[in-house]
Amino acid sequence: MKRYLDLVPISAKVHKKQNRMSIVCIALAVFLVTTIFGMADMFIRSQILKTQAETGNWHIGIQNISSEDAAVIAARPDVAAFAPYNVLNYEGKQGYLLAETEVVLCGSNDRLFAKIFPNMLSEGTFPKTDTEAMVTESAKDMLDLHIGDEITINTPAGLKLIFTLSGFVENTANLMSSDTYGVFLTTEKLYDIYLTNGSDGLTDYPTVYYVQFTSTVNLQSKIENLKSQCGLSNDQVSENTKLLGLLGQSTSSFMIQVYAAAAILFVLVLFAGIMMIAGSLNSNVAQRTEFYGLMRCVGATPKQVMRLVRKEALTWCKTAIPVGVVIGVVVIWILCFILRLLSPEYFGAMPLFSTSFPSIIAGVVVGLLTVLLAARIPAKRAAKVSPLSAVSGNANDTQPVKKAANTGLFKVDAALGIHHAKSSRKNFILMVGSFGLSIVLFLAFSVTIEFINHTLRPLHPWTPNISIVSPDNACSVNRAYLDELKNNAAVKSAYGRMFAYNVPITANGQEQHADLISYEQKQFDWAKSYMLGGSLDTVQNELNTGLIVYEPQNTIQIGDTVSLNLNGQTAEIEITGMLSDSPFYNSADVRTIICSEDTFRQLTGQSDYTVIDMQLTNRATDAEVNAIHRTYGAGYSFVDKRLDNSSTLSIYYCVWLFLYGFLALIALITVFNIINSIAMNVAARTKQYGAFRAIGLSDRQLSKMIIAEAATYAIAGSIVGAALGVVCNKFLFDLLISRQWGDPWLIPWGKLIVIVLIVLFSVAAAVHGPIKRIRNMSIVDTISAQ
Amino acid sequence: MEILKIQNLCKTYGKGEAKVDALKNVSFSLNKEEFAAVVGESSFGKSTLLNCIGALDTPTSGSVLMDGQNLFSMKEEKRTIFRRRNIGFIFQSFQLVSEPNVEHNITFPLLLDYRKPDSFRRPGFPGNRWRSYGFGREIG
Repeated sequence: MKRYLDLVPISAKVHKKQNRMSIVCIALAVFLVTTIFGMADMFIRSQILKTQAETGNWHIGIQNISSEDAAVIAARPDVAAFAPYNVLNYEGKQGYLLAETEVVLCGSNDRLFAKIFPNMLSEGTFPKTDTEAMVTESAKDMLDLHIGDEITINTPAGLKLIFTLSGFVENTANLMSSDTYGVFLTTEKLYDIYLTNGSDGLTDYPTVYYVQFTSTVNLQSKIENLKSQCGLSNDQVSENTKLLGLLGQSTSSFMIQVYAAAAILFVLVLFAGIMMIAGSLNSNVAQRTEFYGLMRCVGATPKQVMRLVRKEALTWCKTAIPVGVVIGVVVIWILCFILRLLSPEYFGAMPLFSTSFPSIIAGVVVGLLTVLLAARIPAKRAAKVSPLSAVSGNANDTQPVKKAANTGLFKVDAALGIHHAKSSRKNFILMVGSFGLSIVLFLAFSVTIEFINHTLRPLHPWTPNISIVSPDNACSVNRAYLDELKNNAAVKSAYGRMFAYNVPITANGQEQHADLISYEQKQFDWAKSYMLGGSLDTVQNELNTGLIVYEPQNTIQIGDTVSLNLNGQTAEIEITGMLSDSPFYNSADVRTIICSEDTFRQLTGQSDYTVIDMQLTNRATDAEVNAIHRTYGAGYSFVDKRLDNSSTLSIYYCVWLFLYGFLALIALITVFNIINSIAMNVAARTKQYGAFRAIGLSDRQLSKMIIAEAATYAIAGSIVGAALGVVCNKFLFDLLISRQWGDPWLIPWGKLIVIVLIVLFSVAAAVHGPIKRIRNMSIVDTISAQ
Repeated sequence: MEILKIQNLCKTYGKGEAKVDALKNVSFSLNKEEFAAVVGESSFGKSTLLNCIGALDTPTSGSVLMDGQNLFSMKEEKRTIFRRRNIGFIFQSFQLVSEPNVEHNITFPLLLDYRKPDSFRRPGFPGNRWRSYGFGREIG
């Protein structure tokens, strides 16, 4: 031993068992941070790749500049790629058609696919001449096209434009869900088409120039530099907010909110880690009070004692941090694998066995930081130990007892246990508070799960994969198709709806408008869980009855009769139920009324559908979907939502993983906090227990005493936590959910039972170790324990 | 030469009815190389007196002058350093640190003072005798 701090590793070898809990707590904190940051890093990496693939690898878009200015910007040394991009018929309604299907016409040059959309080109090359074109994969599949084939595009002016195919481009979710094809031409050819369709000139021509900078470091200053040097206004420059946000370079308020949320979560995790480790260190110090007293006797100053405690805590880090990091990395690999399995289209780009160095650094830094911060109070406590405590054997100050244990209600062992719990008011409040806080956090945080379930619509059971939609929103989709599609091997379920939009209605003397929508059996079944009141059976079985969808501004209630003005005739419908939500978007001043198909037919005289939705089997292939498209899609919009759904579902999985992960974190911290707190309390009374055993307390009675003390904390903490937690839960539920969707708040019995059981289980686990330890010690050792 | 001077040393435990005067105006002095023994019945304050002299405990009033320095007018840190460098205390129950061995227990105060202990391995140095008596082994 060359320095006094060399005592620490010697002591650590001797007290391996006692230090185990502290090492586990540090490893847990490091593991949590490594996993959270690692998953975030992996997710961001995959999102960057996905965003670059879907929306392009561009940083800003510049509009309304001359070709001379464009040339100047393209020549800048900090610009890696610069490509023009023009679009005609973006919404697919102007009448540019390829084989009766609307096409979105895009004009650019080969730099667009070389640098800006590097993964979009699936086959062939960008058009080299004005007579060449590329089309999307959907057109290739539907029209059985190959490179070198000729396509004819009909313009609204009646012209026929013939192009030779030079290549194919990947589909996008936008094009798929709007049943349009994408066609890529040279910029010059698109400008020609634009002019021949009656447009005035260049000033009207919506050219966007995509800019990719050479380095993503300090992008905002590069953008400001470019703006000032080229005299561009803010209106002329738009950012690729999604990509810049993922790169950490966005100034948009939403992304700043995301960064702020991430920072808050980091602080929460840090705080939780500090609490957990501080509790463990306190327990460790409390059990070795005489040792620290001895150090003071020998001549260690308070500062030297503090350094001993800190060095001891940092020595644990040598084992705990690598263990936490390794487990964190392995868990990240497992979670990445699960996400890739759940949603390969969206998370396919997520690295599988990659190492996230930012997360490892974060884990190490947080591990060291939490230990140093957590060790402060225990170190000060150890430094305050009087040298006399080692000499006299009284490690703790003895206070005069004001009130004796109540042996009237309980037997003496249980009465003493309860008395120990309540004897120190400060300690009792701290223990009850920390148990209660865990319950409050759990119940408050669980509201966010309900919020996500409401906000992410494609999660709903009625979400279709593909839809056949009437082009003019009329009831024109042949109803015979429904039965045929139900029998299709690729279709898991098919269901239709009839719509009558913006129907004038009168309800309670007020004139309004409503969308009337028909449901069939399956959709009524799905609607059951959204019933706020009334009867679903009545609507399904009785004519001229309907359901109203809840909205804050809606005045129509259950029992009201609504008069509808349909095709000049008045019909009445009785509202017999209310739904909290529906899958349909409507204007603020238009209500939504849902009825049976029979009622709809009776009221409107229509029998064909406006929409037929289909949910596909997991094994449905693109070829089978294309076959359905060819057979039933003619004359209708064929909306393919598979890419869109996959994208949102993937976000849901991530959010779900994150939310439940956070709940698990709260539960874990609860468990460790309780185990540490109980262990600390028991350790502080080791000599007392020794004295009790010396005068005849049996092992069984000793167990009962310790259990009674722990149970007092647990029951009091559960009552306080449940009361406050339920209030918090109600407040947040009303704020986030009831106001928006009208769902009534119910006491969250399920979640309450889960967290209270976790608390009780933790208490049971917590007393087991200390009871076993004291039982196995000889009475003399217990009395002189340190 | 006077090395230790105790003046009106008092130590009281508890308050009110539970008040106990363990030491009441104890005064004496000792010269260098003088040997003294404190004798008395159980609970007469012998340990309390030694604890106060050894700067392990703080008296209620009075002074302890060691080598001309008032121990309890010093700040805690300075007093600890003084105790470490100038006072040797042998406890009734030894109070040895169980984790390290005998050598480390002996040298520990030196290490706290950031000094290197002299080598025990020179021929004729008492350190050799430590080994022959088996004091190289850990205690406890």
